[in-house]
Amino acid sequence: MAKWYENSAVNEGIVISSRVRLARNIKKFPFPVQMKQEEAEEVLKTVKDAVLNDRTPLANAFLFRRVDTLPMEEKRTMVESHIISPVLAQQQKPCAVLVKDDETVSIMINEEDHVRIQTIFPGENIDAAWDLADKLDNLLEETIEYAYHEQAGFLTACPTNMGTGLRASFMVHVPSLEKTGQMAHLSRTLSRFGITVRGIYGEGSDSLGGIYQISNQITLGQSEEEIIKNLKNAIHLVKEQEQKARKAIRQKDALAYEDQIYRALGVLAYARKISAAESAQCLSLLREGAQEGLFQWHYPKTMYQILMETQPCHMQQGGSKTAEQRDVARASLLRQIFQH
Amino acid sequence: MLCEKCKKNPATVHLKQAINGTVTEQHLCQACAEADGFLTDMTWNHGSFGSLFDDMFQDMFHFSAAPEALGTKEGTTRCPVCGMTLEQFKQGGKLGCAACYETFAPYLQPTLKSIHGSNEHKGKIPQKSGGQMMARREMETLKRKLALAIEKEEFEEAAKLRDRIRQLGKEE
Ligand SMILES: [Zn+2]
Ligand SMILES: [Zn+2]
Repeated sequence: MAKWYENSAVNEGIVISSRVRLARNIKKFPFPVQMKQEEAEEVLKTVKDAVLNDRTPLANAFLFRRVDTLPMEEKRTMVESHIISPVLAQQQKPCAVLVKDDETVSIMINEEDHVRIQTIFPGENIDAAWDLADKLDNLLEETIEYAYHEQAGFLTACPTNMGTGLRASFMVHVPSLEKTGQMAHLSRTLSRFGITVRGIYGEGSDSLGGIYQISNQITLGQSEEEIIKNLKNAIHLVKEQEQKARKAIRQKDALAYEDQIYRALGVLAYARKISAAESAQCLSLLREGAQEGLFQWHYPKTMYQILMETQPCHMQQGGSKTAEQRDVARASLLRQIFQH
Repeated sequence: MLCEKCKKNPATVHLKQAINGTVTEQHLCQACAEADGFLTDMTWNHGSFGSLFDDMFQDMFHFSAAPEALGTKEGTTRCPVCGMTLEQFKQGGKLGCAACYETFAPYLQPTLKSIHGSNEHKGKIPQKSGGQMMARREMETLKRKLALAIEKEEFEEAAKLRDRIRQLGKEE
């Protein structure tokens, strides 16, 4: 089964992926922070059954994975793949995730809320992501009664998510806005419209390879459609600004612009050891170069997939390594991809 | 009714708790309720939990009650359903259960306004609880209409309304 990040749409535009997250709680249990061990187990079973006992092809594509009993390394790898959140990786109480075979859907159980439905689509595809999340929400609701209040909407552990419980986000690659230092300014502007800018791994994380997540902040008082429309307006602005900045940088010194991109290719194709930060930087330049038509992206994987697979915990798999051993392994993996 | 605990004082605190879907009722005197840690000057004597929930939400979302007006003191407010205290909530930023929304309403109110700038859900309505809600609303409207029809001696209309009310009652 091809994963969403293997789709070429992930490589082609400023928008890498579109994501929707719905936070839900089950009426008859306290929220995870106040849950007892037995209650947590019961929530796991309830949600698992709601999905796996459904006889539709959609439900059949899910795999149930218990998370709290996994080794930390494995959990971190799942975080790097965006299958689970850092919060779920830290959860001490019984918790799990239901993952769809192409990794477009993960349903986290007993994260901050009982249920976190997450859908990811390649490229600019937020409507499809919302549509699927909405369907899954309906599927769960056939057997589960949610904590809901007429005026307050869906009740969530954190009041910042109440109402729709919806977080819609675009993952964007904006190297030029980052380079020119415009990202901070842009994120202040967007915040006035209820839009938040975060690093690649969500709240509090740094940006990596010019990648940011842009999402709605407001969940109450707007319908899901309004929230998504507002976010689309924001993304339009971001794309416009990135294109402008890119053009300006390239026009200012075309030779220097091309030079740094081809140097990045040289590093990725020939380096003998490379850190996660440097490889992210080079991958970012290459993705931009291909988009700007300097060369064809004929490599077997998308930039985003390579970025993900060269993160520290992914590199750690197959036995523990020192930082230098990881850098050597990373360089070797990159050479295989880029010496074409 | 006497207090269930000391069996001496009259029960003035009537507490309905829904834990894991099972509703338990407790009838205590003020002293025993306080001793049990159910210490709030704001919640008790309000009767059943359900109506309290709605009242509080009205306060919460229409901003009609100032936090002080409810007379809660920090540190003494505790959720009667999950046991979370205001202190814990302030530290962790996470509520313990659906009822916490009502318990901590005076404190949530200003925060929500600044986070969302709005106070009413306009999004998706779950089919299950949403259906019940819609049926309840319809029932209320029908009963009002029926009373009006009887008052105006419009008996044909009243009969129709009564049939509809009966049917709706059966569906539930
Ligand atoms: Zn007593
Ligand atoms: Zn509570």
